[in-house]
Amino acid sequence: MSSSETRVEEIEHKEYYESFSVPFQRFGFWVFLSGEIIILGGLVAAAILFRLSYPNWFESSTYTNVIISSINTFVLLTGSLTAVLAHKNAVDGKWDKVQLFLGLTALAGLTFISIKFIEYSREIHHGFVPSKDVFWMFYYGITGIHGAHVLAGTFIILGVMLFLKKKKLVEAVENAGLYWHFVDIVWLYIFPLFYLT
Amino acid sequence: MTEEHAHEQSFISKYVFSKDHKTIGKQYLITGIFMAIFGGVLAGLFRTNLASPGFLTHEQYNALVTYHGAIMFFWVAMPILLGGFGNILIPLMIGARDMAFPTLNMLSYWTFFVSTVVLILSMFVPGGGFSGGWTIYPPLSANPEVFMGSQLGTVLFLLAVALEFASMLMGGVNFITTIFVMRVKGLSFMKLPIFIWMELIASLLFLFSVTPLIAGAIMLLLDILLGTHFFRVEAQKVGDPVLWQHLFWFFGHPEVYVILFPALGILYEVFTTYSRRPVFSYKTVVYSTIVAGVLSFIVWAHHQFVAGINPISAMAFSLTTILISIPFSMQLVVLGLTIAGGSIRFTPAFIFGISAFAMFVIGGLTGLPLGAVAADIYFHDTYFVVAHFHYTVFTIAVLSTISGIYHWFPKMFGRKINETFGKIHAFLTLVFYNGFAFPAFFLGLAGHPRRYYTALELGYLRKYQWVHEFMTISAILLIATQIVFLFVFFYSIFAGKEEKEPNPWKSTTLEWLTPSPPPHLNWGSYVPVVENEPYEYAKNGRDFIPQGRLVEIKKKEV
Amino acid sequence: MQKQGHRHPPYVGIYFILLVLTAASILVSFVVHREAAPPFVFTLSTVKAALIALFYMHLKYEGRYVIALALIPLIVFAVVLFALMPDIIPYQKM
Repeated sequence: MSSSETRVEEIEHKEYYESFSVPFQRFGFWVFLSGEIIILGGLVAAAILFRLSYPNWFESSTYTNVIISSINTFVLLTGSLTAVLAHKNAVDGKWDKVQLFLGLTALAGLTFISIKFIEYSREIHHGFVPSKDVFWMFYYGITGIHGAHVLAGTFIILGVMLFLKKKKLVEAVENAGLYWHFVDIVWLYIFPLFYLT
Repeated sequence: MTEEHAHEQSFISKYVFSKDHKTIGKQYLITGIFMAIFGGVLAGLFRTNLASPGFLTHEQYNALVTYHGAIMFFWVAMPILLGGFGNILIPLMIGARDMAFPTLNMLSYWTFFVSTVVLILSMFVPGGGFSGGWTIYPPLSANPEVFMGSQLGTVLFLLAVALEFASMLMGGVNFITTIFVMRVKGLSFMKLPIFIWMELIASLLFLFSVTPLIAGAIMLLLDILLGTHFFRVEAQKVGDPVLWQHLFWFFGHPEVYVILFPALGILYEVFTTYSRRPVFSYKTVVYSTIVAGVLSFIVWAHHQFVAGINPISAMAFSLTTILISIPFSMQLVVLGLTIAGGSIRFTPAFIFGISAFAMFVIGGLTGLPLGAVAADIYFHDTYFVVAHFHYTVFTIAVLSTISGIYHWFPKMFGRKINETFGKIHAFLTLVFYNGFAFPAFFLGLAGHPRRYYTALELGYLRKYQWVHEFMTISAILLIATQIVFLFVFFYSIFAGKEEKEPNPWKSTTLEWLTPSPPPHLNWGSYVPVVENEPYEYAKNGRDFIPQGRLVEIKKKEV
Repeated sequence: MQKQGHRHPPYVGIYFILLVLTAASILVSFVVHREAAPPFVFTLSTVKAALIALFYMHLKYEGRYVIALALIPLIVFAVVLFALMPDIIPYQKM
């Protein structure tokens, strides 16, 4: 039994059910997202607390590379644009363009991860390892978890692209986009925290 | 319509990887019951050491105490109260055919099952399991190889907890979405059975409280595996162990309400049914639960009064902790007034329910000296705390659960558990439970620290050794009683007296309109239509008015 | 499920605003003054986050339950941050 079987009852016979303003897939996804916000938020809060406690944070933070991370910021923002354009086309019913824009978003994700991988390699080569000091442990911890989320987001996009071949569901495109935007917003705070200030 | 043709399902997809909420709920319930016996046996083992020191090594004792605590919270209370009762009852009580995301539901159980396997595995790997207490405090937990010689066991233990959290979060997404989106017509929020409100609020509490701890757990794993120092203290690289305590208890306190609320929800269903009375004040219950839920997020550091936190923080948390007793007292008054003057039927479900209620009052009252900072300086980490939390958590998680099992057994399995056995079970459980837990208050008052391997190593405690022996015997008899119940439970599923009547207890809520057990997709070609309040008992001269009635779905014109 | 009458905000226009704001943050931090940058830079981050949340994630058009799901985690974050400050910060100066 798949969820579409129970959905058939509610949708076909909606006069028997209380109406709710939000489609259930989007509501459920926001429930999930609200949990994810605090997982990353908890790490960021800890980072802020330690940063305010250790003056030697600032000496270490000068060694991060602004150019590489600015490129990554651009990549993520562009991925957000393509993700929301995928959603727009899904609402308008233009499913070929949806696949195109989703593909571009997935490409943005893979680009981000590749650049991050190069960046980590360079930093480790210079001896900046997680156990080095307070700045580096948060740097690797937070950007690492964030990177894992970008990877997950990329897999979600690819999964949705495959799913759409079976069923054209706007909510699937929307949810994939929501996850991507969430990951992007987190990066907008991580970028200044570790690179700019 | 899908419910009319025989839906062919293989054994695997019907019983193993089922997406039917009732089957998933039963899987959670049964796994939870087995883990309860297992966790109880672990307690029996370390209590045997307390009665007769030398039975275990120090490391074994510590590990058993750790696993007992973790198992009871994460592998018994949560899967049974949320995964079990929540999954079985939520769609039925709101008139839905299943949860909003059945595939996710199936995944959540199997993630939970894997977490159980990983947990038990972690006890037997080289180096042994984790032995630093269920609260996993660093620096002990951040340096497991150094302090306990159990790096692999610790990492597996943390992995098991992480998987359990993931599974409960998946369940939470399902519960919250289903309750919001899939209620049947007429079932507005203020007409929901209290049990549904409780599951909803518990799921929301869990969602928002466990997530900062997940951040903390990531940091702890990095400390163990990569040598970072978020929580470890080393020369020139100072981390903060108190940060872990804060993140843990930020979760830990709402967690006990995550367990308490569904159990209270069961009490409301049981009390109203067996006293033939509506809830004394429905709105009081709903609003006080919401208030208590919100307050639960700002009381957590009462677990850390002696950890060296800022004394001003401590005062603030002490104030909020005392305040939170207010909504709970209101609920206990409402529960009491609900049954006062009712025409009570002393079924096993009711007896367990009233026992849970009475024991919980004791537990709740003893929270007050613990919440007051000055008194807590004496009581912290003594047996007084152990007694307090057993009187709140055991009573509510176990007694209320068993009450729910007796109450909904006919609905879930179409059979009954023998009532005489139930009454004996209740009596013995109550006697043995109090035998083991009540003396703990006095040990605490005498200053007996908790988690100690034996009382004999400290001079002033030697004279209490007989108390330990008494407690151990009671505890072992308590566990033995539950093992007997386990056999009776399974026997009754397959060979208990059949109960074909869908509503044997004459209860009002929607789940009693379905056949026992309910078929796949619950309602057949009918749908329940809700017209009444959830607890219309003894109204207008009628014994009870069901909340809804079944209406045949009109076929759409083709 | 098609959304009837769904108005699309100017996604591409907002994208360019985001790029400009990002460039501004980088400039302020590296060209103008690094130590004084944090308030300015984090304010810009919040503006960008708000743009993405309101328009790309459609929060501007959502009802109270979804907005609550988006806001409650931020409140929890603030509670965790501020309640922990009296304990973590005073003891760390090394």
